[in-house]
Parts: sequence; structure tokens; C-alpha cells
Amino acid sequence: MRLNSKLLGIIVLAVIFGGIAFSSALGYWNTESTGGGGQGNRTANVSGETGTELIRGRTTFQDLLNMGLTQETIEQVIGGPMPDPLTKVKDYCAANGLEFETIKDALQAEIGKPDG
Amino acid sequence: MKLPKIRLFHKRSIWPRALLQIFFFALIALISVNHTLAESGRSIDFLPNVTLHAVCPFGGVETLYKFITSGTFVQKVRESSFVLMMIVFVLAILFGPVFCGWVCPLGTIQEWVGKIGRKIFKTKRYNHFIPYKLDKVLRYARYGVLVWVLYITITSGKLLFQNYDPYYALFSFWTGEVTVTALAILGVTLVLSLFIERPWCKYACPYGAVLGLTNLFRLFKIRRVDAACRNDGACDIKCPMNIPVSEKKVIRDHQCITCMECTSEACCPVKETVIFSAGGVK
Repeated sequence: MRLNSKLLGIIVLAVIFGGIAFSSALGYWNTESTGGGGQGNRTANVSGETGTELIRGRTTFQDLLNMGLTQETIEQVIGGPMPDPLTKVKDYCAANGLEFETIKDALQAEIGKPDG
Repeated sequence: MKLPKIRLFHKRSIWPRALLQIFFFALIALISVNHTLAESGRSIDFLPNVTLHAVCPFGGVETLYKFITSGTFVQKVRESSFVLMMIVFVLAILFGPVFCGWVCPLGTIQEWVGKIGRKIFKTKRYNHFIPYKLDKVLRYARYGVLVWVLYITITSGKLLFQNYDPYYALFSFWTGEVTVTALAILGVTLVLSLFIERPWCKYACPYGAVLGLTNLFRLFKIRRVDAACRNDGACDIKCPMNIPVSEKKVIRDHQCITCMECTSEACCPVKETVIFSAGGVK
């Protein structure tokens, strides 16, 4: 059986997007963080299906407190005292040489904990 | 390898591949930019707001050990990476590393830069700067990179390769989260692309190393019909991965990226001589 490039191109697109659609239908297409060292199952998605408690670049420390995290938990994650609550987490990370993605994932995991 | 004297190849190219390369490059670039915009509340509605890690199939490979041993993922790796890894494996088992040749945006940008190099050094000289024997040995370096990447990921539980990854640097250089090392590796890769086609893919890409192994057993292969072949060496010269196609009947080289540039649909001047097929050639 021979294949030409047009057919191969169509198959490549079909397999990639068909595979994504199929996995999505089964509930396995999850692009959100499952938290630091995340869980390999769907129930561990801490981002929440509603997406209302996602940490983003504009999230401030006050937002974190509003999300239910304690100051102690936040300080544990960032490894130091919490700055002015109106400081953005991303700005704090940049100023202190921390990787925002890492801190974000760790904080997101704390939010996802039942007692978080 | 001595270059043949006769060069009678057609200048046709595999346009569906070029089209898909542009599409996937634009898609990943837009997704990455959109993620940055979303963090400041200005995301584009019709684009998904996902991180680069969520759409990288190599993340699935990196987390494989942790997933098997503990059922969890390495930090930052999403389930979508895992799904993409499986999709790419299915494609690779059928068609070889078609992901490298048709989809990977880092391979694409190296090819685009390489077009400038090809114009400067012409087809004969471009991509033939490194002596064949040395080049052949260097091709195995990417397996060393693969082992190192898996080792640092397994021992740390983190995606430490991100600090060196030119792919991450290419689509995140504006975020301030890319290390100088990764930017330097990206820069070196792009400069080298002016002399060598796909230098990162050939010598360093850990994902290419994994996918390259499927060339040994993939279903559809590049085959050369010996009886029809003129032995003009067009396929050898055009192959971006410097595979001596004219010396083989079936291409099982671990570096083949299924670009199809050697086939009779592209550079080979004789019809149905270099073909892409499953099963033997009559």
C-alpha cells in the first residue's frame, strides 16, 4: 500500500485532532495543572472544573487569602514572609528570583487540598 | 560518504508538509502568546488558554517513569501531554517520526533558517560541512541527551530540562521565565542551521532519539526500487538528515524524519522509484 504526501498530511491531522477529540470525550484531555507532582488521574484535577480559583499572572496575595489559603501556607510555599497583600504573586517571584510557574503550581496544589 | 557527481533532481517539494509545518508553528506560537495574554486578563477567545507544557508530547515521555512507578506526573506535566505522547507514538509506529518532519515547530524553524543557508552555500555544500565519519558518530549524541534528561527528571521529579530546552525558549522568550542557557542553546541551534540542516534534531533532540527508534519497525517506510533507480544521488543530496538513500532499498535509518523529500513525489526524477509504502516493492 502506497501513500502520497497529501494523504499522509490528512492522516496526520486526523490522528492528532481526532485523538484529542477522542481523549476529550473520555475525559482525559486535561490541560490544567494537576498540582506540584500532580496526580495521574482525573479526580485529582485541582484547578476545578469551574476555573474560578485558578492562579494567574494577575493574582495577588490578597486573592490567595480570599481563595482560602492561610498566610502560613503561603509563606511556606514562597519560602519567606508574605509581602504586601496587594503584590502580584508573579511580580513577587520575578523580584525574588523564583520561578512563577513552580510557585503557582505549588500554591494551586494547596488550594486543591480539602483543608486548603 | 562521497557526493555523487550527477545531480538531476526535481525542485518539487512536499507542499502538504510545508503547509502543516506553518500551521503547527502558528498554532503553538498563538497558544503560547495567548497564555501570556491570559495572565493579564486579555486572552483571545477562540484560542485555548494552556501552557506550553500542556501541548508538548515530550512531557509525557519525561513523566513516564513517575507515572508507571507512582501513578503521578512530574511537576508541570499535564494529562494532555500524556495523551499527545500516545498520539505521536501511534503516528510513529505507522509512519516513523512524522512528528519531527511535519509537526515539530523547532524542526520547522531550523528548516526555515536552513533555507537561507542553502541559498548562501548552495545545495552541494550546504548540510555537508561535517565529515561523514564524525557526523555518523555525533548522531548518537542525542541518545546521551535522552538518558541525561530522563535521569535528571526522574531524580528531581521536576522538568529541569526546561532550563536547557530550545523549544521552550523559542515560544517563551518574552515571559522572563526562560534561562540564559536555554536562550543560548536556541541561538546556537539557529546559527548552526545556516550550515547544517536541523542540527538540534540530528545531534541533541531527546524526543527525536525516542521517535527515531520507530524507524526500525514502522509500518510505512521509504523504499527505493532498485531496478528503476538511475543512481543519480538526488535523494542523497536532498535528504535533510544526510541519509544515503541511494545505497539502501528500505530506509531504516534512525534519523529519518519521513519528510518525503527524497521520494519520486519530490526530488527523485524517476517516477515510482523512491516511494512511501507499507509492504514490499514489486
